[in-house]
Amino acid sequence: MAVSHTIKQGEHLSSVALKYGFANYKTVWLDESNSGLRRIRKDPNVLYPGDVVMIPERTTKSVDAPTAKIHVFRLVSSDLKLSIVLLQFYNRPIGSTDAVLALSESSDSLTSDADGLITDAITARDETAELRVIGLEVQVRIGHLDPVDTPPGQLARLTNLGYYLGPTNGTVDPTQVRSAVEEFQCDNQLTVDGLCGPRTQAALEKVHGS
Amino acid sequence: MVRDPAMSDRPGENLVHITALGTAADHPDRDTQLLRVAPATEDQKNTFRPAFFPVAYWGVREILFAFDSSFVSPRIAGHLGELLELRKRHPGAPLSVFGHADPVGDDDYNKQLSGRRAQAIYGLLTRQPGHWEDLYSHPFGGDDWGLRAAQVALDTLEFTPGNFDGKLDEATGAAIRNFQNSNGLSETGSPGPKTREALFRRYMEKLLGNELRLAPKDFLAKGNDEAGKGDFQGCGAFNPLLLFSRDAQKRLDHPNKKAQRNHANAPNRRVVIFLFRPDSEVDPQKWPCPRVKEGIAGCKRRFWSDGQARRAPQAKRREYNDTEDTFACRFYDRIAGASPCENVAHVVRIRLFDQTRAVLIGAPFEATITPKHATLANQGQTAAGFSDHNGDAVLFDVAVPSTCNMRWSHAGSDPNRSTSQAAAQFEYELDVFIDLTERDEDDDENEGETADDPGVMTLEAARRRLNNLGYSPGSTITRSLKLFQQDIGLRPEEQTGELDSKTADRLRHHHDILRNPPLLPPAEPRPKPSRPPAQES
Repeated sequence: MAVSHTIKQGEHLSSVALKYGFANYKTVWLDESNSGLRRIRKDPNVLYPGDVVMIPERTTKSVDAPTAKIHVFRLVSSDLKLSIVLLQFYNRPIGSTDAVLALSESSDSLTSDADGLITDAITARDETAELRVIGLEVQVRIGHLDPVDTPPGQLARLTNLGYYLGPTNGTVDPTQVRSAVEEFQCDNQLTVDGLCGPRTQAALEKVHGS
Repeated sequence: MVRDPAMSDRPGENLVHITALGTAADHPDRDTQLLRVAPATEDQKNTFRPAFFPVAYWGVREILFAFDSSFVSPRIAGHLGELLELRKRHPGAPLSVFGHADPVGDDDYNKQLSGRRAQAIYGLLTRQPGHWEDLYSHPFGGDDWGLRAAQVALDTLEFTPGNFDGKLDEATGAAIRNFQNSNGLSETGSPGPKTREALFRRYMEKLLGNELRLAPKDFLAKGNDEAGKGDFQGCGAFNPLLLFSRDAQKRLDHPNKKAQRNHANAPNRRVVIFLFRPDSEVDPQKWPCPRVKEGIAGCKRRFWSDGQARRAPQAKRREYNDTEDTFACRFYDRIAGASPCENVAHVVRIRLFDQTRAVLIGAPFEATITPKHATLANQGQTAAGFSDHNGDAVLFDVAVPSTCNMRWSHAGSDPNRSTSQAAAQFEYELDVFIDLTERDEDDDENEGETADDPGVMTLEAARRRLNNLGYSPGSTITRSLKLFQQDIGLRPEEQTGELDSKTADRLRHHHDILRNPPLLPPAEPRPKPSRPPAQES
């Protein structure tokens, strides 16, 4: 019997797959029943509240193995990472710099590479984290990045990139949004009109990395 | 959310300090970034760029420059203490200097002029006479330092040049020779390059004192660009604090209104320093603002898409701290955005009389000002002092509109009394309205102008004028008008208690324009406010 799951904020394919007992998100993502989803969402890690994911049936795999012997079964699960590129405005990347990513169950010390990239292994359960770098303490919400063709997704990227300077308490300041979009467009040789159309969205996704 | 431990550990309130010389303030703590990111199953990434914004602000008004000049007045010494305090509150916060001009003149001219003022401030703060020599030896339009600058510097250093007329007369020559003598220079009596360098340097040292020491590395681009890109720049007239209404602008553009227009535009002429988050550093090549000597193309690239409309006069008068839409440059708007200091400071003069209509000079007063829209800077401020040689109590940075509870006495009534005694008994007291007219009327720019373009006086505006003239505030408007009509000698049939146009004209005349008291003695004491802004030069 087919089961469907409706995405809530903060969920991504790996966390959903895990919830239904799938160690490898690809089993769910690449299932035929999700071809429609894959057409509108290119990245299984960037889903939108309301998206519907079909959960395939769990198949039981049987393997004959003689007793009184030791057998090794390797569980293929996907590695989940969190990658963040650290940049400064009007300056070089924040490279070769120490950072700490505090997850709910561990606190990992990392060092950015020359391009400012830090990468940390995470689990599908990790959602809330804190990043400490260059004297800042930043709250991080994993899985909360919405698709770039949605206004919340655009706003999230403009915020991450330091363009959106408006309130973060839920109210959105339209002038600040316009300021953010125009400044981003100006920095990226796009027509400066304050509107986040397809070209601006594509650039936003490219610059942000997802 | 990005929490900057350095900022949040600061005890006490934010500093906000606004004076006739300038402003200094911590920026309000900012709502900070919350990173919404996606995990990666392949090579997806997220990018985090900490937002770029200032943590504090220090600004100087035009009064601290010679008129139409980038030469720095010695009066700046009175405002440098604020910068020192901000540096102590924000150690390691790099600075960048922005000069602003008023909208008169063309864009290129204004950009250069405002940039020169920014350069002068930068040169002063970093104690680099070379920047001043550059300005001195390359006059620009009306900005020609000339000998007058040397005279002011000599005078400040107590070498008594005699006057500031820019002429190399006996006294000036002698002062220069004395200076040269004291500084191991050959006594030519004329300020050549070596003399100028020493003179500028000593002058700077005198103004800055010992504690305020800044080096190029304390600025945003760390002096990495020879022409100061990233460290100091001019915004021309692209970011005015105040724009007149179209009608007012047309009036002020009239050739014989030049002095008035200059005066009204004063708030736009300012130099502003932002202090940024401690580890901010800027690559000059990536910094959007052009160098001082470069043109405006780089500026225009950073304009809002509706930038030209923003900086042009519109139907109504606009002030940045009200409408937040007067800046054409989006880049500057983003930096200055949260600043409590980018505002127009109003100076109000209230002339004090006693009940016999005598002007009270040197009269002790105490004024408690309650703004209609209270902000950090001006909640219920109390100012105390003595009225000046015109009999005016001068109040700085009064938010308009406000009411002011004014208490005053005759001068010399108690020579030993200090003005700040809480229990002081004043002879007179009156609640005065500041800002009497509806905003649309733009009367602020009509100082000295008579009734050829008065706008319509509302009943409320009349009531407030009558109140300020001492007609009992508790009385009905009809009764007050009648009394006023009686006092100004209207015929009995004209004493209707109604606000007809003749009465309105006379009321405006007596209250707004008349520097001398009305001819007839009133029943009660009447202070007479004049109109803001009326700043001394």
